[in-house]
Amino acid sequence: MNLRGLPLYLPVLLAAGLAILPASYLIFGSLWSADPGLPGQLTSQNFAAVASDPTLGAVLFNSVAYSLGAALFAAALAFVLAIALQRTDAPLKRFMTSALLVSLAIPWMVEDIAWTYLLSPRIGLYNIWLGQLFGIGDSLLNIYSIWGLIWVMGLSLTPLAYLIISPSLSLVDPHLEEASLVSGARLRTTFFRIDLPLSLPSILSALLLCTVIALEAFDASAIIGIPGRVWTLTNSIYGQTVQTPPNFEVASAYAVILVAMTLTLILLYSRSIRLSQRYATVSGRTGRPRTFSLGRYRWFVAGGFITYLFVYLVPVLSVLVFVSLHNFWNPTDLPPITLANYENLLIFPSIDTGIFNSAIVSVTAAVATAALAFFLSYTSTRRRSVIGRSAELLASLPLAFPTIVLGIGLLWALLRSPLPIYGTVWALTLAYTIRYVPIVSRFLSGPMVQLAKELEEVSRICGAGVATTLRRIVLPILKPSLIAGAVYVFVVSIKDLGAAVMLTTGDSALFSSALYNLWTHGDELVAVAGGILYVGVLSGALLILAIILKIDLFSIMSPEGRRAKSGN
Amino acid sequence: MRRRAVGTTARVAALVVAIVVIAGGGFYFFYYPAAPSPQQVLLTVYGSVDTQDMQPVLKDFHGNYSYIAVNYQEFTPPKAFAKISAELAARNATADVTFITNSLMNTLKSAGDLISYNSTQSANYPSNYHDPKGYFATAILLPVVFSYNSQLVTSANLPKTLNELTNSSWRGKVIMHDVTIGSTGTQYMLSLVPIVGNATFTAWAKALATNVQPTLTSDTTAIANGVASGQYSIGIVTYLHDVVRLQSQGAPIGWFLPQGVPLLTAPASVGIVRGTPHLAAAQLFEDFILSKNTQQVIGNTAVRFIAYPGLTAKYAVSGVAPNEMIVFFPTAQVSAQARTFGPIFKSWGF
Repeated sequence: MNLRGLPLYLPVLLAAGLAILPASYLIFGSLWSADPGLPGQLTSQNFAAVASDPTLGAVLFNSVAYSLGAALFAAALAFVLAIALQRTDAPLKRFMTSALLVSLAIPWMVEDIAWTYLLSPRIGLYNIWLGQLFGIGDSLLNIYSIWGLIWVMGLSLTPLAYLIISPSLSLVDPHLEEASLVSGARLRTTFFRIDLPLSLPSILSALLLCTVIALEAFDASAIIGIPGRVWTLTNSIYGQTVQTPPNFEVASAYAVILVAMTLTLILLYSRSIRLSQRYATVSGRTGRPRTFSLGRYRWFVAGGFITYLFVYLVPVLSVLVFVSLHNFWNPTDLPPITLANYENLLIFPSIDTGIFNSAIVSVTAAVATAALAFFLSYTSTRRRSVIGRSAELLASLPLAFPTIVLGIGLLWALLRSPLPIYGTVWALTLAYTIRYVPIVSRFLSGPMVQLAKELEEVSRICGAGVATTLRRIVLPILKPSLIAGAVYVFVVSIKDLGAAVMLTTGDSALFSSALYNLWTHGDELVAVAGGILYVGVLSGALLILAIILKIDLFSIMSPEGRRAKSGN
Repeated sequence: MRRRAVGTTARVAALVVAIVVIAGGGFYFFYYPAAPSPQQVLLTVYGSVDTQDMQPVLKDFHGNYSYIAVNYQEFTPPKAFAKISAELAARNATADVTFITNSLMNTLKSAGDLISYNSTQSANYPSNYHDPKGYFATAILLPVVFSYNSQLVTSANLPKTLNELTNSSWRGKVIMHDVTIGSTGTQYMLSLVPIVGNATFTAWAKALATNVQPTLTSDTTAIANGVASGQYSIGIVTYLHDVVRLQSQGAPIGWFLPQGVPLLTAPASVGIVRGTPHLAAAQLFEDFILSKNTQQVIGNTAVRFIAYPGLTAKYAVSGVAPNEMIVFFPTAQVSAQARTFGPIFKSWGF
């Protein structure tokens, strides 16, 4: 190993060390006989307790069925949307793309809360309207079921699935389609024989990634799963921590099972990414793939866009506003309109503390993650050494750690370590940094590989050291990817609830945990008012970031925009 | 030479004076602000009482002790308990005072997480309203009732007995506190055992789980909200103060107790957390909460039931439920059984 580059490995070793910390303590916690910080002994009783849980079978079945169902739903809807938006001449495409962008800015917890007011039996507005319209009672749809979870999570995941699938449809080599059409195949045959098979790897990737995310997600499992007794692994973990007294050791045993499942799925996902490289169709020859003319069905597809908007986005946002203007919720006997919930929001110290802390945590986590990911990505692509590869492998461990699991692992670690950060916002910053370093390093790996080594060699020949080369050559070129990675960490950490419910205390409350606390403590309508504020704060923060960093938000959802940006 | 010597002495004296002044100033500058200035005390309270309900009390407290600012953090009792235990284990305690139900106060006391303090106000309360060694003192009463939606259930249709509640016609229409987590719901159910008898209770609870399949929630207020909204017809383990508050807002909700079930009441107490750096302020807070004047304020706040005996207030239990017999729960035995009974209730179908 080149000793001159040794300082480069220090951040990488730090990232690896940080990744091992919660992982090892989680395993330790699952084998410990007492709560974190308390004396005890090693035992297998926690796994025995999980195995003897009469609902374990249902927990595992629900977890798999719900995450797979939501992913299938999201991938299917995203595929249909991607075809309509990328390959047809349907009207209102820009309008629909904007709707997908807006839905990305709604925190899942807020979305889940909105659905409880739309689809609850007897009091859900959709149920009441359907009942009045068709005379079929007021409990036709039940959000508090596995179908409800699949519906809500599927819709939440659709924009993400769309982001993964849409490029594969817009980047198809047009010569393949032309060859098919010239050979006499119809448009439909060309689509099913050429476009669909070429999109399959990206559909599979979207499916696997959405399955992992749904399996990890705590929001819907908490807000819809717990009241509906739809036990999943994430809400079972949380359920153990709110027992009287809490049962962190059994929660850790559940967490180990969840990690094993996500790890398997992530390995499958990596394999699917590798396989997808066999389907590369973007070559030196350029051209736009054919746009399918919908003829008289153009407005039928546009109607689909409008339906998506008026069944999902508009009701979700408007029901929150409407509900928040009442003292209590009874849709058949509405009390007078009031702003009391917004006034009450101001008296909760956790709300303003939460907004402030969320900003601190998300910004510091974004910066720390981008810095560590940069070094990790650089050493793994440029300095292929045993230490570098081992550190990269270890630092990738948190990819399989849902944030709620990471929260538990860190809780054990911080309560047993002399590092005095438990109960501070830095515990949350640490959690999100650990979680997102491997993800952001993958943001950077592609551009890093594309960066010609000659540039660095020229710099060194001119007498610059490693630090100068990194500062003056590598960093400026990778700046867009670094910014994209940091913005990603900012958004996902500010929306996260999993680690927040485990690691926050009174002083370190985050906005998400403060709202969930209100929701679970009976102040539902105050939480709804807070949800409106949450959407406003997040949208405002994203707009400010977009303006400061000169990011065209619309181009995020549009492969055309992305291509234009990259100059292709 | 002599004149120069005097001059030197004067210069030395001046230097000494300067050093003393600088040192004194430095001492004043560094030491004085570090001393506990009255303006700088921030008392953190982890409580389960609604923040809105605490506002008048906190406002009055700050009015009386302007140098103490109270940072009131609202959690469900298990969460408050978990946070306090974890913070103490991490040697990074945030909470100075806790204000939660007695069953968890007892657990905190057993773990050595509370400081003993015999409030001067405790003498005004019956002996069962405070810990004999002064680890906590009851300030608020949480009577538990059965609630019903008055649009969906008429008083004639109300279940008169516990058994009538197991009728399958109630299936999907009942919400109750989660009996599988060892908290209030579990403790309430176990407190019914000595009242109705073990065999009767077991048969009733199993029939309730099988025939009615109640929706379980880990939040007591959600029960009252669910009943008031019309999503559920009946609520089991509903806090009376939630019912009275919703009634005062015009919600269609009422309360009842099946035959033979007394007004089981959980006391909520104030205690001082071990290791607090604001012991004096914490003691003042406990005294203040227990004082007659503050209890009067609480009793006239919508809606909390005061613990101070014999005090006339808008929301005294004796005024809202005059004919009901108050029985404190959970007993120490029930508290101990609650955790182990959670899985048993789960196996019965809850």
